[in-house]
Order: sequence, then structure tokens, then C-alpha cells
Amino acid sequence: MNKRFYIRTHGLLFYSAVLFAFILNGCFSVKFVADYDEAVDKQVTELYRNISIYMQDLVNTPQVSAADSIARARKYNNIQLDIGTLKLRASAKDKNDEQIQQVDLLADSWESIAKLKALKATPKEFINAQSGLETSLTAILKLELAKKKP
Amino acid sequence: MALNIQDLLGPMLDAAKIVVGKQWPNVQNYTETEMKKIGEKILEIEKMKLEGTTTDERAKLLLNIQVNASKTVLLAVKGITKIMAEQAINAALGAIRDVVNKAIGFSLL
Repeated sequence: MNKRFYIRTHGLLFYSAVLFAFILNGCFSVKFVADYDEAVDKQVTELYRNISIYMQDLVNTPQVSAADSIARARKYNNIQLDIGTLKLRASAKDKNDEQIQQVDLLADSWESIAKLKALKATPKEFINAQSGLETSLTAILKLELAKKKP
Repeated sequence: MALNIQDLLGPMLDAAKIVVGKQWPNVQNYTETEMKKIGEKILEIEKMKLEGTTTDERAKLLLNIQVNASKTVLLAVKGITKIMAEQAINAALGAIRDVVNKAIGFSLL
């Protein structure tokens, strides 16, 4: 079998399969953005809550004892892990570039919080940072909710 | 020279308008509200810097968080615009579905 014949027949088979799929489906539609994902919706809402609690704690008591500092570090790491889980979920879907970039930016901002903490930022500075984080989380949720079919 | 909110809001909203094109009226409220909030927080950082209540290093980190927030809002707006385009095309296909399927004798659309 020559190469040209092979490509032509297999190409024809491929396009026939695509057409057959559309016929079976009985519905032709375009898709530019990944579908709504309830798990992402819940993860972002939970993350918003945990970050708000964590930031409020930093505002109320910027400096804590050694023992409390360990507990606080654990909470910080848990939130970092949650952001990682969100990234994994977002990356698992096709046509989800905007959300993946949003979560990367959130992860970067979260690293800035650790640096601010190390530089002994003031409550006023943490309030400023909290507002930025909450705006980011709201934007991630806003896009996820927009994916819900009308 | 101290910044004012219009110095920041104008360029931020111009950037958003470029991203969304004709869909701007559909996302204008959300974008303006969020960008105004971010602009005010940037002004706050400038004020803290002028008062000496923040350091260069901390101000940079705070600014990084606000810049990331504005990028995240723009990404949301871009995604929402794509969803609107998707819905418009699918609605158009839906509107001609019956006519086309009837004419060609099977369910293509």
C-alpha cells in the first residue's frame, strides 16, 4: 500500500468518524471555555473562608509566641496545599487557561504573604494584602460561576 | 507627586476594554468596581510609603499582591467574554438547527 493512499483512506476514515459522532450526538456546538466544575466552586469558596480567617488572625495578632507561630505556619502551609490542589483540578481540564493563570497569580500572592510576615508587616499592611487576595479569589469564583449554563 | 485614583483607573479600564472589545457593556460594572477597589489599595500603599509606615521591600510585596489581583480580574473578564461568544454562536446554531436538519434529512446540527 503506498503512503499517499494510506493517508487518504485514514484521513477519510477520521473525518467520517467525526461526522458520525456529530450525527449520533445530534447536536453541533462550539466550546471555548471548560465546563463549570462544582468541586472548583466549593474549593474556591472554602479557600476564601480559610484565607480570610488566617489574614484576620494576622491583623489581630501580628506577632505570636513560638508555639502559636508553629500552629500558624501549619495553617499557612495547609492553605498553600489547598491552592496547589486547586491548580491541579484547574489544569486537568481543557480550555481552562484563564483559570490556571488566575490560580498561579494567587499562589504568587500567597508567597508574598509569607515574605510580609517575615518582614514583620503591620496590621494595616495585612488588611491591604487581604483585600488583594479576596479580590483575586472573587475573580476566580466569578469566572467559574459564569461557566454555569443559563 | 501624589497619585490620584483617576491616574490609575483610566489606564486599568482602558486595558480591560481592549481585552473584552464589544462585550465591554456586559462586564463594565464588575470591572469598574473591582479596578476601583484595587486602585484605592495602591493609593493606600503610596500613602503608607509617604508616611514611613511601610518599607520599600514591604511596599513592593503589597503592590505585587494588588497587581496580581488586577491581572486576575482581567483574566476573569477575558474568560467571561469567551463564554459570551460561545453562547452567542451556539444560540445562532440552535436557531437554524431545525431548518438545516429538515433540509438535509438527518440531524447534523
